Amino acid sequence: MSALRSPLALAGVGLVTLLVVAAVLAPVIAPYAPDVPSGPSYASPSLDHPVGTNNLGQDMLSRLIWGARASLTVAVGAATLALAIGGVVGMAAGLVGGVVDTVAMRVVDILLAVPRLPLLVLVAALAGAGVLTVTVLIGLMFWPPMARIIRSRTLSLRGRGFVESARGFGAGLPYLIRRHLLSALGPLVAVEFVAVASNAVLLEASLAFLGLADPTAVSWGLDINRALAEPGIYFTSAWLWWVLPTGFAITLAIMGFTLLGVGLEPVLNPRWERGS
Amino acid sequence: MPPGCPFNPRCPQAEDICREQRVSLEPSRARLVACHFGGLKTLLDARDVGKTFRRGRRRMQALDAVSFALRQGESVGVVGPSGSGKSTLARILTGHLATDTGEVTLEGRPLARSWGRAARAQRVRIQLVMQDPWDALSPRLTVEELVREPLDLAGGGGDGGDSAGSVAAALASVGLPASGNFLGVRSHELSGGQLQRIALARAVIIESELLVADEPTSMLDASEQARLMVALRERQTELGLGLVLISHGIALVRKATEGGET
Repeated sequence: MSALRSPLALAGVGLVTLLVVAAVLAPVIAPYAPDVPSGPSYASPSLDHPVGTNNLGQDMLSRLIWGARASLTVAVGAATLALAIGGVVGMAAGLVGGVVDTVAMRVVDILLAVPRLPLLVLVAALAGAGVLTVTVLIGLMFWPPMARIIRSRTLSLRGRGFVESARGFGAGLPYLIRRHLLSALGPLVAVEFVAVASNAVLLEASLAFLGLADPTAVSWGLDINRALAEPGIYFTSAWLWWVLPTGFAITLAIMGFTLLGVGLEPVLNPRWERGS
Repeated sequence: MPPGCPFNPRCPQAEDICREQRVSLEPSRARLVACHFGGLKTLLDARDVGKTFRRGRRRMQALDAVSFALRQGESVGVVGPSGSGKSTLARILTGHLATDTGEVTLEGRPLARSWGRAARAQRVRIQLVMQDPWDALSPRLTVEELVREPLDLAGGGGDGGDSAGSVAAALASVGLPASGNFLGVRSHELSGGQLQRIALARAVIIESELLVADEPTSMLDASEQARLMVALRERQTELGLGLVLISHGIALVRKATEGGET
C-alpha cells in the first residue's frame, strides 16, 4: 500500500479515521450530553472535564466530539451531492460533446464566477441555516468545479485506445461509463471528493462562526462564535480551552481530509509506481 | 456430400443459402465459378476516402482519395512513412473516425459511427489491433477480464464455464498461457509482445471478419515481432479473416501478405 509508506498520507488516514470514529461513536464516547450543563461555568481542564467547560457549564470535550458529527455530516453530504451532479454533467459533456458540452460548460463558467461565501451567507440567512440547508447549499456550490474536472478527464479518456477498443467491440454509453470511465475516474473523483469535504468543513464552521446555524445545534463554528461573543473572553484564561481546542479540531479535520486526498491517488492508481 | 454447396462446411463466407441450395457453374469475373456469391465476396470497400484535420487556420490533409477493396480472407498491405496518414486510415476503416470525403462500406453497407445498436453490431465485424498495446488495453483490467470483454459485450460471457473455455482457447491460439496466475495479472505487469498478443486474442475471440492491424509490431523486439506475425497469420488462415496490415516496413508487409493480393 503506497499510502502507508508516506507519513503525511498516514497522518491523513489517522485524522479522518479519528473524525469518523468520534462522529459515529459520539453518544458512547462523549462523557456528558453536549447541550446540558455538567459542571461550573468556565471550569478549567480537570479529570472530570478534560477540556474544561464553557460559559454555560457544558463539557467542552463532549461538544468537540459531537461537533465532529455535525462537521462530518455536512462534509460527506455536500461532497456526495457535488459529486453526483458534477459527475453526471461532466461525463455527459465529455462523452456526448457538441451542444451538450458547450451549454454545460458555459453554465459551469457562470457558476464558477460567483463568489461562494457571500452567496452562501446570503442564501443561508434567507433560507435558514439548518444542517440540511447548509449541506445542500455547499453541495450546489461545489458541483461546477467537479463537473469541469470530470469533463476534462472524460474527454481525455474518450480518446484512449482501450475506450475506442471497447467501442469497437460494440460497447454502448452505459457500458463505457460503468466499465472504463468510472474506474479510470475513481482516483480523481476520490481526491476531489475529499477536497470538497475539506472545504465543506471550513464553510460549515465559517457559517456557524458568523451565527448562521441552528442555535440549538452543536457545531465547532458555533462554539467559536459564542466564545468570541462573550464579553472579556480574552481577559480570562477560558479562551485556552473554549476557543483553542475548537479551532484546533477544525484545523485538524481540514488537514486530515487534505492529507487523505494526497495519499489516495497512489493507492487508487495502479500505474502510479511506473510513474505514468 | 453435405446438402447445398459441397464446400459450405469449411467456407468462411458460407450463409444459409449455401447450406440449403445446390450451386452450378456460372460466369463470374471472366471465369466460371460455382458459388452463390460469384466467388469471394467483397468485404470492405473504400472509395475516394479523404480526411483533413484542421487546427485554427491550419489544414493538414491526412488522406486524399484512397481507394481499395478487400475480399473475404484476403490480405492488403498499406505501406508509408510516418505521418502519411496510415493510422488515420486504420481508424476510418474500423469506424472510429469519420471520413470527410468518400465512403467506406462493409458488404455494401456504409460504416456508421453512431451509438445505435445496428452501428455497434457492424463495428464488431471489423477489429482494430492498435499500434500501442499499453494504450489499447485498460490498465485496470486483468488478462482474463481483457480477453473476456468482447464476449461480455457480445452477450456470450454469461456462462462462466463457456467463457472461461473461450478465454483459454483464445489465449492458447496466440501462444499465451491460460493459467490462474497469468489470468490475474494486469497489463502493466506484461511485456509489449504479450500485450499485443492479448490484443490479438481479443480481436479473434468474437466472430470478427476483418482485422485492421495498425503497425502491430512497431513497439516490439525482433523475436516478439516474429511471434506476433506468426500468430496473426495462423489466426487469419484458420478463421478466414480479411487482413489490412499497416506498416512502414515494406518487408514485413510483403511477408505477411504473401500469397494474398496486395
